[in-house]
Amino acid sequence: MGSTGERISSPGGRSETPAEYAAFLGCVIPFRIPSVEAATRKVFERLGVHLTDLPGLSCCPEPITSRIVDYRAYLTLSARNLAIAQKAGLGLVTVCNGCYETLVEAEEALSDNELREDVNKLLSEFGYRYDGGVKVKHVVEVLDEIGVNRIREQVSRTLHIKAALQYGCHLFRCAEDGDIWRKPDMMKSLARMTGAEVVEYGLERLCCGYPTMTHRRDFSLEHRLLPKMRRIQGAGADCVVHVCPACIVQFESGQVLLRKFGASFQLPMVHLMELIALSMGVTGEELALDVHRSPVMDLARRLV
Amino acid sequence: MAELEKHAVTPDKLPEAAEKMMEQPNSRFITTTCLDEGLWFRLHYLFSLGGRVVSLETRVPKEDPRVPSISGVVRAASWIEREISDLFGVAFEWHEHPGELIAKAGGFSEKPLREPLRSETPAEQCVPIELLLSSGCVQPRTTTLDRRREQAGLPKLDVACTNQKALSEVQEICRRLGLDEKVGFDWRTNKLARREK
Repeated sequence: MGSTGERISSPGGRSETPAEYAAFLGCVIPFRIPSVEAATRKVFERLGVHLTDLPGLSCCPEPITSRIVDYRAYLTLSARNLAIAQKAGLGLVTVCNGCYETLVEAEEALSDNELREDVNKLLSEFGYRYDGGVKVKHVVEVLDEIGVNRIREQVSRTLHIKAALQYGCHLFRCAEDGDIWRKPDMMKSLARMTGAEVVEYGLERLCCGYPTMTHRRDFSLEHRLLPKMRRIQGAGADCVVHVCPACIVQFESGQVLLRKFGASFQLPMVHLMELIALSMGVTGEELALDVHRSPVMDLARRLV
Repeated sequence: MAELEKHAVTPDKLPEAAEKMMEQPNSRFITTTCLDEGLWFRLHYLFSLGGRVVSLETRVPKEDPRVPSISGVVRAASWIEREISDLFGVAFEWHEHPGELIAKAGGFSEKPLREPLRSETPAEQCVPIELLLSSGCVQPRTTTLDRRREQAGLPKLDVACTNQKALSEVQEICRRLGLDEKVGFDWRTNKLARREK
């Protein structure tokens, strides 16, 4: 299937946006927090942007482990995913910071002709070839291009909540000399568009501790998550808004594990796409928000 | 001196390959050597074919070091297999005359040449790597979540962990790049060798 080439634009949008993207959902969202997938599909449907599911995609692969263990395998598996998108003539949109970083960095590395041909040599045995140039975008970039004003036209419910934002480390990654706050600022504008009041807590850039959780669990909890949660609670937030499923997993399971350190938290951990879907009038039940391990469904019910 | 001719063989094909060696003119079995490679035992079965030395090579994971014995087709391999078993702990299945050979005489019960498992893969990376190699995804799929997806009206996913062709491609790419060997992934069990303390 190829792209229709159709584009949408609006006065509030920063540029024309393709009306069709290939969804790169990654692993955690479909198999652990499918409510985020449901929200993404509903929001894009309302915005008139078609999300195509490309058959046969694999893990991006996971950005930390795969690169440490075997760079070549990381690059080849990533190139395979990019080649599938290229064959379909579509750009990729991710709803996960990790997938975003993996694919963007692989795409950049593969601009080296020699390296790309080397990777293509193996890929060609499976019928793939990657020539470079597939656009990989984080969902906040796509929404920013569509434009806050245009998205606001679909908002039917103002969310009267105080939201702390967890941007996630990889959202700050950008090309050299770029503005590292470009994507986090987009996330902030989109959260505000729903009516949510964004509360600052001063530790937005501190890692949530997810990457170190498997081998330094106490450190991750006590020195990463705990200070963040204390500040977030101190700022009076009703919920924490995320754009990274790994952060959601860490905050949801971590806030329970923090009891070990004498702290007790029970804040809803909601993905930005879920927040936007709720503001568009989609119910918590339609999104299956009860798959969360924090009281996101309760939050949704309070907002009705 | 002629170069050593090597042939890689999967463990299950060893007896058949050894039998073929012995059917060659002027053939004889030389010996078997075992190398401890951290997560694997590599076995070299050396044959002389009219003066030409040919090696059948296979490897087995140290966590589950089972390999079929060739003693049924090459009787001369009987003692060396028992010796390797005593020294490394390789289990030669269906051996004609199993049992200790040198351990009793040597007065040892541990496997003196078997080293602890060691891997380049950091322990904290084992779970995601194992999931990636076994399913093509780093998040385990559960029937509960599959059911929740269905209830939420989400489409059936056509990704590596649900699409056999895609999974085979991912696994073959990893195999071709040697990732499985590097991290000690055992395709028979779909598991990764763990590091010993």
